[in-house]
This record gives sequence, C-alpha cells and structure tokens, in this order.
Amino acid sequence: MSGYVKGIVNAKVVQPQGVMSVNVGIAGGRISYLGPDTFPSRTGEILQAKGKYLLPGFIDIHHHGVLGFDCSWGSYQRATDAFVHERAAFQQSLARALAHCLSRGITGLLLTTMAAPFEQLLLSLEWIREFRLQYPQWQHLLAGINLEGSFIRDPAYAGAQNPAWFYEPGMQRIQQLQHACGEVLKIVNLPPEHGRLAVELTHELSKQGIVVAAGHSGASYEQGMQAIEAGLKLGVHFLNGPSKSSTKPFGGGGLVEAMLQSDAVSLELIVDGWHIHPAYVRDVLARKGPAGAIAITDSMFAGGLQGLRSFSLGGLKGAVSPGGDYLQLAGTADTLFGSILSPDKGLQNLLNWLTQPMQGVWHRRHPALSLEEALIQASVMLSTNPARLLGWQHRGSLECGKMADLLLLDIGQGSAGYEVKLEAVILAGRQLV
Amino acid sequence: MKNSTPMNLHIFPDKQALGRASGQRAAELIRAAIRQAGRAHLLLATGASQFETLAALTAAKDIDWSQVVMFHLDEYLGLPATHPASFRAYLQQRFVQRVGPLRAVHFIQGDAPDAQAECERISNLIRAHPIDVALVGIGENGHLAFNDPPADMETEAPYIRVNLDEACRRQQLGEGWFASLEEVPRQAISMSVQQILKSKHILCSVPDARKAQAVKMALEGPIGEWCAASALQAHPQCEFFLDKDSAALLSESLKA
Repeated sequence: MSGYVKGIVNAKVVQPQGVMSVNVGIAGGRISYLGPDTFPSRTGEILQAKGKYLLPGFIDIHHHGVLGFDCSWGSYQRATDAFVHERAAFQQSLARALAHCLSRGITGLLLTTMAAPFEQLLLSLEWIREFRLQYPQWQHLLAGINLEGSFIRDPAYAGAQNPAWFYEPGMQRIQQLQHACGEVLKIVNLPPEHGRLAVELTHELSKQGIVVAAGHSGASYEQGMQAIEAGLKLGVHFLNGPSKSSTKPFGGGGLVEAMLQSDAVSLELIVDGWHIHPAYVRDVLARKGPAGAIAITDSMFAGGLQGLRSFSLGGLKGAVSPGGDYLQLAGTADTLFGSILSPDKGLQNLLNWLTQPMQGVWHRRHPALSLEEALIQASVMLSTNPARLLGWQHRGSLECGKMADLLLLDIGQGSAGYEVKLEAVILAGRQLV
Repeated sequence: MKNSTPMNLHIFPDKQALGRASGQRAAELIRAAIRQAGRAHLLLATGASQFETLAALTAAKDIDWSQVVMFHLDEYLGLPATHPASFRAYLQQRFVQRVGPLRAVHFIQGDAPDAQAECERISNLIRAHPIDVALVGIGENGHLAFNDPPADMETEAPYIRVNLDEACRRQQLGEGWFASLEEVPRQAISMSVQQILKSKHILCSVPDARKAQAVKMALEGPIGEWCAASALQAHPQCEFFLDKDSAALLSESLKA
C-alpha cells in the first residue's frame, strides 16, 4: 500500500523536553521506535529527513472552516455572496476544507461553530456526523466540535457573533447538539455571567469530559473564579472576542484577570500577529508558563480564497483588510472577524517573535530564545497543549506508542526572518502531503 | 466490490433469527472439525452483538464440548475477571457455564501485572492452535476485535496491546457495560487483524441499526486501517450474518 512510511532517517525530533537527532520507526500508524538504529532496506518506505525538524501534527481546536467552508453556515458562493446550507454542497466543501487543513499541517481539528439558528446548527452537526461515518479516513483529523457562539449572553461582547442567535444554555440543548454530531462535542463556550446556571453546567459538562471554555464574556472576576472552581479550563481566543477586563477592584474586576491568574485555565491565542500584538503573546506566555497557552488559528471560510474583498456571514457584513491579512467587521475600526491564518504560518510567526528580544507590556523584557527553544515552545502551543487539554493521550508529542502524526519542516532564513516550509505531512503513519 | 470472491451474506428479519442461524452454523462447523481432526478450536467474540448467536450455539445438540478448545478475541487491560464488563465474566456466564466441560479455556488475563508478558503467553498458545471457527462482530466504529481505527493491519503478532478510541469506549458505555465513560478502560489486549484472518472459518454476526454504517464500510468500503473489519472482505471463508436493520445501508447489488 502506498504512502505508508515505515521509517524516517536522520530527523531532528522536536519534543517538549528537547530536540533529538534520531531515526524514527513507524508501525501500525504509531511511532514504534526512536533511536540510533537504522532500518533494513526491506522494511518498506523510508523517508530521508536530512537533518530537518520533525514535529507532531498541529491540533487546531478553534477553526471555523476554510476555502469557502463554514461549519455552521455551509458553503460560500461568491457569485451570490451567500452561504448555501445544503447537504451535498456542505459535505463537498467540508472535504475540500479538510484536505486544505491537512496540507497546512493540521492532523487534529475541532470544527468550531458560530452563533447560528439552532435548527440549522443541528443540521450542520448532523452532516458532520454523517461525513465522519462515511469517510472514516477523515475521523482522526476531524476529531470533534467546539461550540463557540450559541451561549454568548451579552451582546456587548458579541464581537463578530450575531446576537440574534444567542441561546439560554441548558443540558437539553447541549445533549441535542452532542447527539447530532455523534458524541464528539469536545469544547463548549459557557460565559460565566450566566451565573448559577453556568456553574451547574460547568460541573456537569466537566464530569462528562467536555472542556468548558469562556470567551465573548462580560463576567466579573468573581464569576470567573467561581466558574474556574467548577471546572472552567479554557479561555476562548484570549484578549480577543472581547471579554471583560477591569483594573478596578470595585465592580469585581474581569474574567480576563481571573483567567490570567488561574493555573487551571489554558488560554487560546490567535497567533496571526493581527489579533494580539506579539508583545502580549509573550506576556501571556511569561505569566502562564509554556504549558498554559494554546495557539489557534480561528480560521474562517475566507482563508485560502483569493481576491475576496467583502462578504456576508451570519447576518453580518465582513471585509478583508486592505493587505489581505485579516478580516474585520465592516464599518468598524478594529473589530476583527476571525482570521485567515494557517497553523504553519502561525508556527513561523511564533518562531520569529520568540527568537527576538522583545519589550513586553507588563514584563520589562522577554529574552530572545534560540531557534530550537522557540521551536519547542511553538510546537508545545500548537500540538502538546491542545492534546493535553482534550485528554488525548496518544497525540500531541513524539513518543513511542503515540500516533505517527508527523510534520517534516524546512526552516530557512528569508528577508523577514525564519521561513517555515512543510516538506511532508504524515497522518497515522501515511504520508499524505 | 474489490474482492474477487462473492460475498457470503445472509440477511435476517431480526436478530433472533440471525442468532439462530449463525449459532447453528457455528455448531455445524465445530462438529465437522471434531469429525475430521478429533478436536475443534473455537474463537469467540463478546459484546451485545453475540448474545443471540451464543445462545443458539450453547443450545446446539450433539457437540462433544470436551473436544473444544476456546480462545477469545479481546479483553480490557486492568479489569478483573469479576468485573461485570470483563469479557471473561461475559464468556463464563454466556458460554462456559452453559456447555459441558471444555477441553481448554484460554482466557486473556487482562489484569495480569505485566500486559506485554500476557500478550506473549496467549500468543504462544494460539500459535500452536490454528482456529477452526471464529465468531466475530463489527464495532460501531468499524473495529474488528479491539482494533480501533487506525488499526494495525499488518502486524503478525497474534495478540497485541491496543488503545481504545473514544467512539469505541462510548459504544461500551452505550451498551450499558459501564456506568460512566471514565470507567471504560483506555487500553486492551486484542487479537490482531492478521491473526483473525488466519482462522479457517469466520462467522461475522452484526445485528442492530446502530451498526448499519459500520457494516457498509466493512463490506463495501476500501480495505484499510480506518475500518479494520474491511479486512474480512479478503477472507475466503467469511460469512456475514446481518439483520434488516444492520444491512439497511448496503447496496442493493450486494444484497441480491
């Protein structure tokens, strides 16, 4: 069978604890060997890494779609500037989006929903469930659903989510969604300002192994702390969204401060360089430590679409920035509308930010890391931390027995700093890119 | 269809009829093996899909059980034989206690202190005993034994240690064997796909609508690691026992 890689020779394997120059054996889709031994020539397909870096595949836990696909609204039609929500078109554009994700190094993906009519959302999830059953080869990559938009409470924190479709959270609704998607709901955004209801649901969902997140939230510090005590684990696109921040002790401070202070909470960071200034990214890393930050794309359907200038999505008007770098809510100065980032570009951004000395906002100075130190930190944010958040014990790092989801990376020096090129993407032991 | 041999497919109105037929077919094959070689080596599956089949097999007359050697497909790691969800408990209750004394019962000791050593012990036993009749099912996620996607389709080791994926663990929860997902073990010892294919006869019994998509994948999909049961397409002596519900998504050409 073609595409199966049995061994990788002379790779610099990037692990959370360091970089090792070794050979990698693969059997049954898992890493079976890491060490100095070479492989007998009859072993099968051997990949020559030629001293390039080998990383675990990216796990993007916050991704709405790409290449014209949106997991809540369906398939974007440029001619009419409208989304078609119809089963065959949905599944076709989903397949294209997944192939695109794989080509950018994603080997684990949570498709992330927006605020949308509830019945429509159920239908979208139902189509995703069907797709996973019909194409089991995509199940490993398309690993689940992140429910972002439905339970936002306060329109003041809506960002680019349409308040027309914010719903009162409840177990019955969540179970309907969980059932529709085939029990792969992994993350639910539950803003703590729902008060006692939020605390109760956070308890219940955590018990079921669903990660409770908070974002687009006007919760106070105290509400945030109560939710964290109940099991809140994740800050949704931290410092974007927006969520409440307050420096004043009266009025209770804000959720942002609660999440920064708590070791139990990991923070999503959109690492496109537009959503958060790199200095803040480094500040958050310094405050939370290497294990506390998760790099996400927050990718929207517009990613990979050339020449798009403006669009309508979810009843809102959006525009592509003049340089084609980010999306914004039309008519606003700085309300961003998801991103068009791919994770390989995110890795490149992180490498360039982390290898420069930088003045922080809250920290006086962030030292320059070496390339390998930066690569480890970036890989931990893009793979190891999200896997740990989701309880995926067999993904997210390169160790014997873990899935052979691998990226072979060429890192060069260009005029703007490090340039990252994906040379190979291996999913469960098979080279697909 | 990718396989050259026509598929041996039986579709029944309900799971009772399915179980009667597959149980009786297993009984026939066991009797034939004893007639020919004096002994029969039987490989059993567990799970809800096998209830009716095992009931019919254990009710069959004229089997000299004292000449039957029993193996089974898989067992959870770390679960004692006394746990109600353990496959040893299942087989004790639904098979061993219902038939006369067997020649030998080779249980997988899932709670052995050294799982690797247990894999080797049970592997060595089965190397000496080619299986005459294997009863298998198909998981909701297309697994065969506990070979969850992506399965190791190539290893020649008879029994291997495997990780259970979440869909598989949810199925066990859904069938009521455990009280919560947390309680479902994350690892198991499973017979490998290649070892299952070494069985002379395979009877694959799959009732229930919840298996329809997996049955379609296994019988009509590509052979590969994302649906380990697809490997059965390539076995020359595999018979499928389905009910109307589990066969609902199959192409008409296959059913004809």
